[in-house]
Amino acid sequence: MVDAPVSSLLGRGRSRGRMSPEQRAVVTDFLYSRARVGSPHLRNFIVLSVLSSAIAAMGLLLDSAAAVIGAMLLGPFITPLLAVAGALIQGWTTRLGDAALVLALGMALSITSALVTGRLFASELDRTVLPAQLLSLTRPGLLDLGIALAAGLAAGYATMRTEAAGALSGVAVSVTVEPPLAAIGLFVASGRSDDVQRAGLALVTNFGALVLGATAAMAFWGFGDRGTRGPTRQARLGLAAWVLLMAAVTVPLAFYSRDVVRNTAFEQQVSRTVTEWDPSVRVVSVDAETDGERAEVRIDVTGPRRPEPAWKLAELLSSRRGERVEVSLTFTLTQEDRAVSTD
Amino acid sequence: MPRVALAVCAVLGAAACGDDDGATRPVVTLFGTLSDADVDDVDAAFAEFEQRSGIDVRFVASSGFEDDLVDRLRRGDPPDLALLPQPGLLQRLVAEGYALPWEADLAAAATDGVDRTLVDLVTVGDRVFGSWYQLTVKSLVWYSPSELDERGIAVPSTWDDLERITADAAADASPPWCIGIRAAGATGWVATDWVEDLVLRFAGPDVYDGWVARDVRFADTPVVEAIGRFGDIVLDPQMVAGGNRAAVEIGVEDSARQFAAGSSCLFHRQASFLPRFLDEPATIEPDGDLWAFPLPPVDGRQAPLVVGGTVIARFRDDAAVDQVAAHLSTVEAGVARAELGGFLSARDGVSPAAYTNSFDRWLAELVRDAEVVRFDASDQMPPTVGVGTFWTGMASWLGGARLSSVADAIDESWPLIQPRIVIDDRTDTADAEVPGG
Repeated sequence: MVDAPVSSLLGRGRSRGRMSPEQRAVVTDFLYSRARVGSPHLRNFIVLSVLSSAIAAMGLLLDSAAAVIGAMLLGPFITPLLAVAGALIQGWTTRLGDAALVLALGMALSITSALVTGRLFASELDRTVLPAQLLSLTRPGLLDLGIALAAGLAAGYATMRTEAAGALSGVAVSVTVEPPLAAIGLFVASGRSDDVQRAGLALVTNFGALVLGATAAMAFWGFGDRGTRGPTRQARLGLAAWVLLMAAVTVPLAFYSRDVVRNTAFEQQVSRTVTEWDPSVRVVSVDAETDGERAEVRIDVTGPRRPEPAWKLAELLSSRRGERVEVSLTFTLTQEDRAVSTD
Repeated sequence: MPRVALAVCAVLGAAACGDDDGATRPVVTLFGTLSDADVDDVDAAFAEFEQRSGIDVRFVASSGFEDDLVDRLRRGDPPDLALLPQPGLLQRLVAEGYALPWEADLAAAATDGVDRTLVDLVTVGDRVFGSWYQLTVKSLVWYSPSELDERGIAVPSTWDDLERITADAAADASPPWCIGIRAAGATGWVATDWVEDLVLRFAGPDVYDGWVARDVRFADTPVVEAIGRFGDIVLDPQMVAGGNRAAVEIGVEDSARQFAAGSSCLFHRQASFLPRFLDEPATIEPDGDLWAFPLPPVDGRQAPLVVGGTVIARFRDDAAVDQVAAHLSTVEAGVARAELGGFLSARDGVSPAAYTNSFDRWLAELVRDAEVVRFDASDQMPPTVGVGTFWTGMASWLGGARLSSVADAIDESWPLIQPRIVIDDRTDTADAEVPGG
């Protein structure tokens, strides 16, 4: 994070209450000198957008939490995001446009970077069952919206309050932004259009909630100022539009959340049933989906011998659930071959 | 090396094994081969019967059906009923004592309105062991009507016409055929279907019947010539999209999709179930996306047809099982299934008018009017050959093995001692006995 320590510029010791004009000016200068095309800081933003997304993409392919966290540390999106929030509070349309443009540029670069990474490591995406972290990005839910909202609040709060560490709030923002951006690039590279849509929904949700949270936090802790505010009508319209966008996104998310809960319960049932179906196998991965009438299970198991036939698992699940169950089973033989030779 | 298996289990009705009032409803399992669309259609066709009878029919389908069925039977875990794609497999299961006979009313239901030749294929001694559920027409050549129109090509009615059209296309550097024989666990069946059609056309039905009965061997001239004719097509790099290695490298379903995608080839020889292989639904009409003509005859007469089919076999003696078996053997069940499309009944009572789409209706008329109809030879042969060495032999030959060696190897694999079937009339069970061990 290079853009995070905004709060350090504000001086220490501010307690509750509105910001002083000097402090507001420092924050404003910091945000809007960076969140615009043509800024000398833009090069850093571009480089970090590209690199953080590439690292996140590789981390997702490897299912490596460490690599994805590393990408989050580098993620540069907090500044333009806070700039959008501040512009919404103040009704600064030009600054809002500038910040949104920088955000769009960063998103485009991040997706392209992940796309190139996906093309380079395309074989990793050919597998039927996606790595768990990547798979989770195709199932956005209300919990993701909650995380993004909290991260936005944290980012806004940290910007206004010197007690909170700005760098950490930048990571919180990256948590909700970097993985979906990288996932979109990877899914585009592998032609998974359905997954692109789902990860896209996750991204829109997260960005929207982040901005909403940050806007609320910045407004609450005194970023608003009548003296420098643009036309009030514009500010209200901007906020109303944003709230409406979030409300619109919440509807599909509520459905996704219901599906996620239902599918997670189904996956747990599959895992339990597998131990009954064939105790000799170990489950490598399970991907189970149901709409209440038809269920699909993609399961990857390994074991020391050929497992029980797939039809038996399908029948067990179907009889318990009372619905059509389709099982795609991939089995890998675990075979240990040891030898010793003495002279 | 990872192995992949697919299975679908479908249950109809509100409850799998019980009514809302807690009363237990009988469950009858039907085991079959895997095809997504089939699973849905079989399910749908049972809906009215389940409601009326109070029986839950559970259809379990597996991509490894043949192996799984034999495994289940040997472990003492038989399904109640199975849809067998090969009468040869039924004969084996009868010989091994697993399949139960259809007696009295059930036998009458199984044979009523079914061609005598088909009934003979499921009869052992004087007992019927299966009921025909559906037929497929194998001897079809698929084409795109608009593609042929654009090229000014008329649908060929003789073998000479077909040879001329395909030779012209090959000369224009436009491979006429899409062929792929690779199939998980079943590589080779497309090649055996080709050879069967060519034996029937060029050697005639008597030789074909003799071949099935092993009076004519694989190494005999008529069969070797038929395989050679197939080789003239499939091994000619100008004749097959993708070149002379394409057939062994491309999967059966992939070659169907390659053909349906257009521009790769003119023709694709495949059975009436080709639409099941396609990712995108195609309009099957004479002026639609795809249509078919019978593989032409050599003598200018009507094209002989090779057909395949699915037989219902019983493995449990139970009133509910018999009720389902009897239902599946009725004209009403055939009509209900025909209305869903992609189905050709083996029963005379299901008239062409019962079929809701023009392709199924055309198939029904084709079979009804054909002068020469023969059942798929490999499906009648002992499974060791029919779904074993004949398949693998064709794959080996296309991979470069010598034809004479392959033919000899298939002949040698034919089981010399057929299991003798001993029916115990008192217990209604069949035991297998292999003379001489």
